[in-house]
Formats: sequence, C-alpha cells, structure tokens
Amino acid sequence: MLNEPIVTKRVELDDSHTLQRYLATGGYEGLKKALSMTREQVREEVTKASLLGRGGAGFPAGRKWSMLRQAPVSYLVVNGDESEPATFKDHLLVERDPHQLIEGTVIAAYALGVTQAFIFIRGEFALGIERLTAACNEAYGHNAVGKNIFGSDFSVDLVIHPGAGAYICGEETSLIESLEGNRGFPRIKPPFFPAVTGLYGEPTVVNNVETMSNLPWIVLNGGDAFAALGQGSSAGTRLFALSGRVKNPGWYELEMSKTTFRDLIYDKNLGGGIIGDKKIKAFIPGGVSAPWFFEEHLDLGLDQDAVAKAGSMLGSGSVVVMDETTCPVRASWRITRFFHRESCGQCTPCREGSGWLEKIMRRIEEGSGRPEDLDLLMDVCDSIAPGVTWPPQQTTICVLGPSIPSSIASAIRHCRDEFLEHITLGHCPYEKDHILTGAAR
Amino acid sequence: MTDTINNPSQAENEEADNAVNVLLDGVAIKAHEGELLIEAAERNGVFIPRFCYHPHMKPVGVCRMCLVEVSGPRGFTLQPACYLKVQENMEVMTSSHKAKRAQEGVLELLLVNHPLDCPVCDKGGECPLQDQTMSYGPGESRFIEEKRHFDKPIELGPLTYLDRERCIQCSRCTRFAAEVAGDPQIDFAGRGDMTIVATSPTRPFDSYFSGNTVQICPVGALTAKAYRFKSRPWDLEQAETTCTLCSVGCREVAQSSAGELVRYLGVDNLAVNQSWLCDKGRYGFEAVTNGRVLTPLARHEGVLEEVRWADALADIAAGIRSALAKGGNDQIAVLGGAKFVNEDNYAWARLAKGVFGSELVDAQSGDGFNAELALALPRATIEETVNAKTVVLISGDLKEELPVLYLRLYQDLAKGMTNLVEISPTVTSLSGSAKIKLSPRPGELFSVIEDIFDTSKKAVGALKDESTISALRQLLDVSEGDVPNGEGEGTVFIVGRANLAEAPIYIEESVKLIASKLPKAKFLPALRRGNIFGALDMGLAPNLLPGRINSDKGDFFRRTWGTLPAAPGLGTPEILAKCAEGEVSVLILLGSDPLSDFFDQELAEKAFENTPFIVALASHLDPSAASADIVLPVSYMGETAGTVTNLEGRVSVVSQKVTPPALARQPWAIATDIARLLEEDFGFRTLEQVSQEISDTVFLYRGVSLASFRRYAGNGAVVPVKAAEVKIGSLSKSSAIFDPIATPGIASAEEQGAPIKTGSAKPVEFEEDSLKETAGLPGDNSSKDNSYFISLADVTPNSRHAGGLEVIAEPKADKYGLRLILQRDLYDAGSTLTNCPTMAPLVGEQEISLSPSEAGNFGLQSGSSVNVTAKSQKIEAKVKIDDTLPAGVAVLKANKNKVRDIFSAEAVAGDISGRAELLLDASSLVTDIRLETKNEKKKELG
Amino acid sequence: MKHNSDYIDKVLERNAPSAGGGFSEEGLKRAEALIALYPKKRSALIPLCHLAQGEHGWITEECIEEIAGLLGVSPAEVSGTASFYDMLHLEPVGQYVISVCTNIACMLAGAYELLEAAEEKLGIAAGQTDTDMRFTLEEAECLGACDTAPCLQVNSRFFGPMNSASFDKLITDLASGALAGVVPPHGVLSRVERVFALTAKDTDDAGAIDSKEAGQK
Ligand SMILES: Cc1cc2nc3c(=O)[nH]c(=O)nc-3n(C[C@H](O)[C@H](O)[C@H](O)COP(=O)(O)O)c2cc1C
Ligand code: SF4
Ligand code: FES
Repeated sequence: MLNEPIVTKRVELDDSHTLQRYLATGGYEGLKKALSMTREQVREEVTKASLLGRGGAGFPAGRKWSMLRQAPVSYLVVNGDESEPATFKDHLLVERDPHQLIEGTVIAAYALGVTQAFIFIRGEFALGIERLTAACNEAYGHNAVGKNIFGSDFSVDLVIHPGAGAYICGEETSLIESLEGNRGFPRIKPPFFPAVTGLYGEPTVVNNVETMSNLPWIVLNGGDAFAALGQGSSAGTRLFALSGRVKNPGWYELEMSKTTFRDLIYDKNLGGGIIGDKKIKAFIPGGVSAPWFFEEHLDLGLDQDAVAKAGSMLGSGSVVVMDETTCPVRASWRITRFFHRESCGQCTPCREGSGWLEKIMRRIEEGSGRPEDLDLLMDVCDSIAPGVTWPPQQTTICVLGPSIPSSIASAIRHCRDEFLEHITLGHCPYEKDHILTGAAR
Repeated sequence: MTDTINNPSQAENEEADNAVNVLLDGVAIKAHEGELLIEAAERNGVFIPRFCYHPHMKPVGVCRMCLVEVSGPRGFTLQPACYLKVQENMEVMTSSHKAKRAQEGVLELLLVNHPLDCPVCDKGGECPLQDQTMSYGPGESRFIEEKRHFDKPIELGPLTYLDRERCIQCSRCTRFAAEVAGDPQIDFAGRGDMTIVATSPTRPFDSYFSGNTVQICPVGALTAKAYRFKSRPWDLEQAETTCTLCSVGCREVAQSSAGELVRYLGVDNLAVNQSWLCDKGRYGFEAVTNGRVLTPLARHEGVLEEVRWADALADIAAGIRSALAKGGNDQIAVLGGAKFVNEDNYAWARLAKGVFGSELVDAQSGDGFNAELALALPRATIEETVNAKTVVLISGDLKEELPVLYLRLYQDLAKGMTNLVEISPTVTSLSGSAKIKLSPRPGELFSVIEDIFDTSKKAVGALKDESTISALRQLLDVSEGDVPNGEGEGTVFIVGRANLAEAPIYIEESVKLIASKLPKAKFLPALRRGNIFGALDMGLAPNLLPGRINSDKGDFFRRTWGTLPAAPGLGTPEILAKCAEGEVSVLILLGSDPLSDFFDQELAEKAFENTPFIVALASHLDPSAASADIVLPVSYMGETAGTVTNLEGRVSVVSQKVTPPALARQPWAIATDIARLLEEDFGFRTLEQVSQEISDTVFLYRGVSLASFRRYAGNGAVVPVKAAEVKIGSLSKSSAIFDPIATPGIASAEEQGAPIKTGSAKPVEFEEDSLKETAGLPGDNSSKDNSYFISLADVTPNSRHAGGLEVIAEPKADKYGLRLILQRDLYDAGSTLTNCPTMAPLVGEQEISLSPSEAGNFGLQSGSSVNVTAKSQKIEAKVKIDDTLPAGVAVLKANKNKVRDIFSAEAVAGDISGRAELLLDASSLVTDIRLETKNEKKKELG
Repeated sequence: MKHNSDYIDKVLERNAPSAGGGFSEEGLKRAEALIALYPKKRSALIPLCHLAQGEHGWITEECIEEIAGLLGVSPAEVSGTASFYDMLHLEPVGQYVISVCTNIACMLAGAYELLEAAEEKLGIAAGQTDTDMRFTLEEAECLGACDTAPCLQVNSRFFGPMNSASFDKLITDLASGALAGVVPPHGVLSRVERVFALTAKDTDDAGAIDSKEAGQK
C-alpha cells in the first residue's frame, strides 16, 4: 500500500539499531541537511508537513513549536512513555531504530534552539533503554550529539531518562513532574502549555517518539512531500498498532486517511481478518481512552478529523478488535480496571470514580448486577465527565478522568442487552466461568 | 452552616485601581487583580465549598469540591474556584445546575471510600466533610460495594495518629509539612485510590509543627494523641486566648470539656501566627493537670507541708518586714515574671519597687541580654520582619526558640522576596535560606560586626571572599566606596543569644554598634520566654519602671507608688551572686526556676543555700519551688486572665477557660494581699482594676486595657498605640469573613468571651476616651514624641565587662579544650514538657555535637558516650558528629535534666547527669570544656 | 548485548536480592554522575532508585536515606515518590519478577488463563513472592507488546506469545540459569551505561559536553 515507509524502513534488519547500519542506510543525513539550513527553515518544513503529534492528542508539531516562549533556557522532552493499552509503536521505534529517534530529536532541538534534551522512555522498555543508551553513546562518538555537532556551532546534550512504571506519566505535565523527580501528578492548568511553563518552570516542548522519528525524512524530502501523503491535516504515514481478535496482530505503517479501518483489519497483507472468521462486534480506534467503534464505522478512513467527527479519536493509533465472542462487559470492565489502577489519585472524581465504576462493572460481570446499576454507572460517569459526551467535558485536572467513561458508555449504549443478560442470568453469558484470577478475584 | 456570609467587607478594594469586574451569580462585583476566585467570592459573601484549599497555602485544586461554572473561550466550563484567578469580565455561576451537580458528584465520590464511623470519630460534629455533605451533598449514598481498608490508626509520630481510611487525599497535611514548615517528613505514598499519607520507612513524623496537620485535616484522618476520644465537639466550650509559652504570642482557642482543658487550636491571626501553632504550645496544656502545687506549702523541719493561705502570707509579710528592718531595700530580691500576665507583673513591680523599694528585680534568667537595650531598640513587628528587604539573624535557631516566627520567616524566604543574612555560630534551620552566612566562633561576634562596618577591611571574620563581603555590605546598607548608606532602611535585625555560654556583652555591644551605624534599621529582640516582654514592660527589670522608662525618670511613679529604689539595678546573675554571698534575706521567685533554668548551676545552688528565706510562686513543684521555704500555688495556662505582650510589643488578651485547681490564685492578687499586710493598699479588687491602672499610669500602654479589648480581641495591638497603627489594614489578605474549613473545630465549639473571627483583619476597637491624653502624664500617644521612653543613649553601660572590648575581640582558648556553644532546643526539661504525658518522652538526652575532625581527634564515634568537664564538674553526653561544625568548638543543649516519669512515683528531678549548666561560670566571657573519653585520649595540640 | 562497564558486570553477578545495605562505593560514584546529568538534582531521584534496585533488587532503607542525602530532599519524599511507581519496590522481591499482562489485548488472547497457569506453576498468587525469594508474580497493565499477546516480562525483558507450556519452560530455563544472558537480576534496567557527558568536565572528548553549560546555553 505504501511505496516507501518513512519511519519503519530499517526496523526489520537484524542490526537496525547500530550506528553502522544506520549510516549505511542514509542515517544522519537529515541532521546534516538541517544544520545547513536556518532554524526557521527547518521549522517551516515541519509546519508545511502538517505533522500531527503522534502521542495521542494530535496537535500539529509546527504549531506547538511556534508557541515556545522565548527564554534564556528552554527544553525539549521526548515522550517515550508509551503506556496506552494496545499501543506498541514507540516500543518498536526505540528498540529497532534508536538512531532515527536521536536524529529526529537533535533536529528538533536545533530547530527550537534548545541545548538540553531529554528522552523519557517507559521503564519497562529495558531493552529499548539499553539500545537507545548504546545508540546515544555512538551518536556522541560520531559527533551527532554533543558539542559542535558535525562541526557546526550547534551543541545539544541528550539525556535518556528511564520511567518507572506509571501510565499517567505519558501525560505531558505528569511526565515533566516525573522528570523533575516527583510523583507523576499532572499539573493543573493554567498554564495550559509546557511551551510556556514546563520543565523547571522553563518553556518546554514535549513531543512523542514517533513525531520525532518522522523528522529526518521530512527534512530530507521536504515538508511538501510529507503533506502529499494522506489528506487534509492528516498528512504523512502513521504507525498503527493492531491487536485483539485479528489473525495478524502487529504494527503497520500506513498512509493516513487513504486507508480505512476495514482495510487495516481485513486486508490480507494487514490484519488478515478476524480469528476464525467470526463477526466483528466492536473495535477501539485509538487506544482504550477512545470511545468504541462498531461495524458501521469500518469504512471510515484512518483520518484524525473523520474519526473525531464520528465520535471517537485516532489517539495513539492503536486498534483493538473485539469479535462476537468477546463479552463487552468483561472488556469494558478490564479497561475500567486499568484506569482505576493508573489514576494518579489527585482528583476526587477520577480517583474514587474509577474505583467505584470498576467495582460495579465487576459485580455485573460476575452476575451480581442490578438493573439500576446501568443508570448508576452512567451517573458516576457523568460525575467525571459531565454529559458523557465526545469530546468530553471534565471535572478533573487531566483527561485521564474523562477517558474512564469511554469504554463503559460505549458498551452500555451499544450492548445494553448484554448487560441486562448478565443481570438476569446471574453470570456472564459468554463463558460461564470466566477465569477470575489476579485482580478479578 | 449557611453558604452566604453576612457583613462582607468590600470597602477597601472597591476603590483600588486594579479592580477587576466579575459577574458573580448575576451580581457585579469588584475583585483584586490576581485574586483567587474563591477568595473574591468569599469577600463578597458567597461561600464556595472546598477541602484542599487553605487560605495560608498555595492552591492546588485537587479535591475538585470548589468547581463552579466559569465563562471562557469555550463557553461555560467547570473550573476550580480555588485555583482560578479572577479576570476582567469573568462570569461565574456558583450554584447553577451544572455546578451543583458537580459539587454533589464530588461529595458522593468522596464518601465512596470514607468510613461511616462518624460516631466514634474525633472529627464528628466539627467535620467539614460532614458539614459540606449536609449543605451540598446528594443526600444518600448509592455505594454498596466494600470500602477500601487500611491498617487501623497507625502511629505516624509521637504525637499523631493516622486513620488512612478516613483520608480524602486533600494534601493539606503534606503541603503544610513541605511548604509551611519546611520539614517534609510526611508525603503521599502509593497511587490512585491507594494514595496514603506516609513517613519514610526510616523516620517518624516528629516535626515541631505536627499538630497543625491535625488541625487542618478536613476529616478525622489525622488525630492528636493528646485529644483522641477526649471529647465530642458539642461538649466543647472555648475561649480565644494567647499562647504564653514563648514570646511570639500565638493566638489560639483554649477548648474545655466538663471543666477540663482538652484542646488548643490556632486562630487565624494575620499579624502573628496565621492559624499555626508549634506542638509545644498546642499540647503543653497537658501540664495543667500534672505536677501542680495545689495548696500553699511551708517548710517545717525541712519538709514542705500544707498551710493556710493566711498563714503563708503572714509568714511572708513578717519575713519581708524583718528584712526591711535589717538592712534596707536591697535585702529582698524578686526574680521572674515571664510566666505571668502583665497585670500580675505590674502588681509585683509595684510591690517590689514601690513597696520594698528593691532594685534586685529581674524577669530574665540571665539567658537574654540587657533589658534596657532590648526595650530601647527601634522595634519591628513580625509583619515588618517578613516583609523586610533584608533580615539579619544574629540569634539562636528560631525553630528551637521562637517556632512560629520561624514558620513565618521560612515561608516568606521561600518566596524569595527577602534576603536573609545569618550570623550565628552553628547551622540553624534557616541557614539553608540564607544568602550569606557567617559563623563567628564564640567570642568573635563583636569583632565580626566591627569588621563589617570597617570598610577598610577586606575580610570579615572567617569570611575571606571579597565579593561576598561586598555583597554583604550592600545587603546591610553599609557604605563602601561610592555606595551611599541607606542607614539600614528596610533591614530588620533579629537579635538574641545564640550561645548561652558566651557572655551577653557580645550581642549587646554588637547591637549597639549596629543601631548607631544603621539608624533606620529595626530590631526584633529574640528574648524567648513567654511573657518576658510584658514583664520587662511592667518594670520587672533592673533600672526600669513600667512603660519602658528608666528608673531615673520615674518621678511620676514615685508620686503614685510612694517610693522607688535608689540603688542601681542588678540583673539575675548579679542578684544570685549576692544571694550566694549571703547578702540577701528574702528571695521571691515569680514562677522562675533558677535551679533548672539558670545557666550557672553552681551559683544558683549556692544562692539557694545562702538565702535564708525563699518564697516561690509556682504552678508546678519544680526543683526551685521544691527547695523554697514557702510555696504559693498560682494559676496556670487556661486558668489565668489578663493581657500579655509579645516580642513585637503586641498586647493581646489571655482568657481564663477553666478554674484553677484547689487553692491556686492569680499572682496580682497575691501581691495585693502582701502589700496590704505591709499596710499598702493598691486598691485592686479585680483584675480589671489592675488593668485600668496600667492603662492609666503606664503611658506606653495608654488605652490598652482589658476593657479596650472587650469588644473584639483579634490581633491585639502593638504599643504604643498610635491612631494610625490601630488599623491593621496593611495586612495583605483581606478575607474578612470566617472560613470554617480553614480551622475546623473552632466554628462548632461554644464560644465564651469575645467572638472569634478567624481570618479577620478587623482592628481592635478602642474606646474613644481611652486614647485621649490623660492629665498629669508625660508623653502623648498621638504625637511622635517618644522621648520619654528609654532610648539607646539611656542604656546603663555594662559594668561587669566595661572597657573589655579587647577581651571580647580575642578570647583565649584553652589549648586542650573545646570552646562551648550552649544552645536551647524546643523540647527542654522545663516544667511544661516534663509534666505533659504525651510530650515528656520527647525531651532528648544531652548530646554533644562535634566536628568530624574533632571527634576523630578524640577517637569518638557518633552515639558513644563521653564525659564533659569544666570547673571541676563532670557531665555525661552522647556524641553527635556534625559536619557543619568547625573544629575547636562543641555544642551542648541547655536544661537537659533527666525527665521525671510523671506516671511513676519516682521523682527523678535532680538527676543532673547531663546538665550542661554545671559547666558554666556566670562570670566568664566564654566557656571552655574538655572531653574525657574512656581511654583518656586527649586532644593533641594542633 | 555488550556491557560497557565493570560496574555493570559486577551488578550482573548478583544472584539474589540482598537483605539490606546502602550503595556500593562504585554505586555512589554512578549516583554522583547521574545527578550531574540534570540541571536540578532532584531529577535524578528515579534514576537513583533504579540504581539502588540494580544493586539490591529493591530499594533498601539505607538507600532511601542515601538518596535523600544526595538530592537534598527528605527520606519521606524519596520513599513517597518511589512508591508511586510500579517498577520501584520498597520491599524485597524475588530474584525474578514475572509480570503477566492482562490488559485488553492480552486478555482477548487468553492472558487470564496464562496468569492462572503461572499461579499454579509457581504455587503463589499474583502479587506474591515465593518463600525462597526466587519468583515474584505480578499482574501487569499493558506492557506495550500486544502483537505478541499474551505476553509477559521477566525483570522487564519480554516474552510472548505465551501459553502454559511455554511458561513452564521459561521457569525451568530461568531456574537453570539458561537465560542468564537474556534476563539480568531484578532491577538492572540497562546493561549499557552512558559514557559521554557523564564525566564531561574532565574529558576533552569530541562528543562530550558540559550538561550544566548546555542547560544554560
Ligand atoms: C493519560 C494520558 C496519557 C498519555 N500517554 C502518552 C504516551 O504514552 N506517549 C505520548 O507520546 N503521549 C502521551 N500522551 C499525550 C501527551 O500528553 C502529549 O500530548 C504528547 O506527548 C505530545 O506529543 P505529540 O504532540 O508529539 O503527540 C498522553 C496523554 C494523556 C492525557
Ligand atoms: S484526572 Fe485522574 S489521572 Fe488526571 S490528574 Fe486527576 S486524578 Fe490524576
Ligand atoms: S479543588 Fe478547590 S478547594 Fe480543592
């Protein structure tokens, strides 16, 4: 479907993570070219490319960069905390092409005039941290990072910072807090953007790993070439992570907009269809924070605006497929349980609401539900995200709160009968004795 | 509770240029620019519910209770009023359907995991969660699942319990610890709904300020050991009063149940303590019921026996009469007064100076400095201090000596608007905030100060770095080169005794020099004891008469009192020396306890041995009272009424909350009775009459009487009261209404006395007449003429070390010895702490701090025990290695008696194995000590 | 993977969680170097916790105190902050921490069945450590390897897709030491250490840069 991948062209080579291979496949040429341009020119190309942030919010990188407050000290922080369930694209990019990430990061630092950059990597990606650290050592040795890069007068120091296991640290202000050595409590707004007040109170750009990894290509081929792929604001390619009840789970770099969810799930070169050729029940279009989609949404393009218009989000680009054998109560319970475990605990609605919702959901799944529980669930959701609408309103500091109702509201609205069946039957109709180990016990 | 408060005071801000127009619930209001919405609403009579917000901490907006609808670019959205700053043309709806729905939602969710054990919870009945659930809650809970469980109340520290199931994660306590107290011994641990408040696994929560976390906890999660299960809020009665345990004078309420004191809570007095208290002040009330002297006692055949008041007083009168007959007025000495109220001290000053004619009168225990000097210095208020451009600390560790002053300063320094210079021999709790820190060795202080002002010198004491010195001089307004001398404007010096083993003349001469070089600088004298300033102001000090005037200007008092002493006054060390020589017949102790408190133990003991007749007015049978011939029981905290004066010169009211035990009386009445037996009628029948006489005759206190505080006690007033100063409107916050959630527990108790208006900046309302000039009195409050008060020029020169500047500059160190720094800590073995069941165990053992190199020289390890000797006395101390100390010095702590176990019959008072006071000599400038280790290894000469 | 320092080699030799103790001498040097990387000290808090865990398998009380001292924060802030994070353990855990993901993608692929098999095999429930401190079993949230669902990690190294048979083999291999090169002792996050800019101030290396200077431009 794609002539030439942009961020995944090396990843299947055995030694894709080494400097040698990187240089042999055109590595660091983008950085050299960027250094021969002015900062403004580099920023201009990125703006032209319509590079939407790949971390979940989909904010245009060029616009974010232009908001960076001018100050004597500013920082670049690369978000590699990837913890949104079913998302595994940054994992791939860090482990399989760390030099590409470093090159992109140094290009961004140059364009922003930043001399201190951090790459925050999810702690669980230990192999990725090892490879990125090794690549960082190589890059310093190669003079692609450090003082007077490639003989220019630009210098930047790069620190690889390990996370320690907390989903919320993906949220950019929480990530900054964590990087400052604190609990990962998202910061209250205002200030609305780290670009104004971020790390150590200084202006800071936070960008996702995949966002950074696109930069070498954009600089080499020009923003226009990137924007020529895809459609409208959804330009270029994107890494989609496909999982769940499909024959070929995995990552796929696809041109945005042009490909549909149906293609992704059913194309034999992509998802290859549902296991056992069962019927699809629902799918999540962009990480578990996103409201679910159903059969009627299959022909939507992988397009940020189109998905938003249809009531969900492309988010982190991870698609989870549920088939007719999937119990929607159990699926949304498990997602709720995730939010309950990962709520940072600052805001009352998120902290207490997530736990309450999880308990009710589990009770229903186990067969002790009451008919009035469905209204109760929606009411509690409403206390966290008034109106339970999309895009959500919130009573909390960060958007983890209003993400909690996404799966519950989707499941209740579309699969109400199955909830009621649980309640009347007194057990899960899909599997009488679901294994309830771990937390479910 | 209502959500609308009456009497909003919006007068001040309406005219301000920076007013912001806000439409609040459809009503146009004016707010200050940058003001938080919750505060602007409150000032305008709209109370928005809240939990995590506290008026004296930075907002964090986490509980989400204060959500209101606010207009913005995306229409109306729910925003936390505690975090959002007002903006021009902002529209706010605090009780729209959506706002109410959000508030209900938050409350329902808060109750999801909150146990419903209100009937057995200390907070039940005064609980903001309970109250706000009534006002804003959904009515009933729909939560049928199992609530989360934690271990039942755990001991977080020696004074505090934590019940984690009740915690609502508002972070008030953890923020207090980090932001206000600067000692984050507790922090959140865990995540999500398993977030708990915790200490590190290695250390308990033993902050001096732990009680404040209990006070501001909006539920019953944090409880105080001293109060647990003592009472129910509806049984509580309370009176607003002033803490008398140190000279900061924090405002607080004393609460009692069934006639017994059960709890103290800080009151939001903007000028002084902003609702905070230290733990000693908060929990010290336990001493009220322990170890008290209940009846008059007299010594018969060596044993103290109960006697009748009339007999005790008759014996005293007889003793005084014979002393007067024997040798005149310098036969009677009166020591103490810092534990008493102004009315007591005035009556006793009148008795001692106006009836006995004695000048052997001193309220200080030799641990302060020249009272005339302290009173003559241009005084700063606390508010001026924390708002100063530069604060210079030449005193002991404020956290140990004046804890809440430390809190105020710590918070202010954290804002970075004030520069701190610290000149003290050791590292203190504020050193970390200091721009410049000088550490003069004992005996060096004066020469360091001299050097600072001698701009021809390029080095100051130990400080050799030229740029730092010039930065220091610049901070201190010392002219150097072309820099003009700002004469110290905007600089406040906090001056006191950092080292009790260094003679006071060092600080006295230093202060005089500073005051002469920087005439516009202000001072906050760091004399520590309770009402010491009230005692000095009332004339319980050598060479002083009531109202900060010199004895030689006392004609007025000669007329009203009848007589005045002729001889020049002596301070406590000299008086005790006289006693030791057998030159004093009667020694009267006004609550003072030289046998524990005086820094030269040998001298105090000798004085007791050689004084034939000792009378102690005492609340507790402390070692001195136990050695007296007659002991008179006096009322104690919570039992006494009157006024006190704090270190700023702020006079405020002390209220009686409970009845003194058995036969205890207030000291002014005792003085009046003794006077009557000596045929002098003071005319005092009531406390109010004493107060009125002070107001009438002491013109420094003119207008300041119990009557003038009658209507509203509030912040008190700094004397001398000038019309302009009565209004304390300059204080930044102007929240003029009562926030019941800022200090839970005050709104719900039954009031007694003046109404408590926490958080109010409302000035004291003086009665018109009381400020009018009183005929026959010199001075005039309304004019700027203060010439009658003691000035620096009037201060009597120090006779003991006159001309001793040479000696001061270079004290000779014993070549084998270490120079001693004797410091005080908050938890000393004074009668308060040793009589508090929950706090007594906190009085630490004697520790000797040494530099690592010195410890190495002596072959000592941390924790090993060592003998310390001087003057052929020997004490024991545990070694503590302190890498901030220089070589050649050692630090010991004052008053480290072994603590008497108040529960067992065994009285161990008098076990003085760790008493550093044994090593000191009142006549020395500095003290050198030696260490004796087991292997007798002596320090080599370096 | 090639290890690039003696320190790492030493840490990799540890074959059991230690009972307690502070940082080793080399560990303290690493700590100082990590602190020097950041414009503000406190930023090194989590890296230092990982460092402590690399040495002991968990964050000991002595290390809490030492970290607090090095960073100028209180011990309660160190332990409180560390306890926020799932990977940081304030109590001893087994030599191998096995984290089975049961989040949505893995659940749809049979993760709970896998977890049940793991519990049976190890004789402990999720959240527990066996008596000889060999294995700790955890139920994990999404580990970011959903293409290999159901997946798990051993000391943060990935295995998947797994079933009960491959799980049994994994345990056998771990116990026999056959996976020693793949799975380092618990807490060792990276077997590669940063070499550049760590000692920037005293090296003239072309690539080195003084991080402080860089932070301030
Ligand atoms: C709860 C939550 C979790 C998030 N997790 C991640 C993450 O794991 N990785 C990421 O890059 N962005 C994550 N984000 C989005 C970031 O806040 C931020 O928008 C992003 O890193 C910006 O980079 P981009 O503009 O390049 O996308 C998360 C946001 C929220 C609210
Ligand atoms: S919404 Fe949840 S995760 Fe976000 S700040 Fe609030 S409590 Fe933390
Ligand atoms: S969020 Fe405003 S009071 Fe707590």
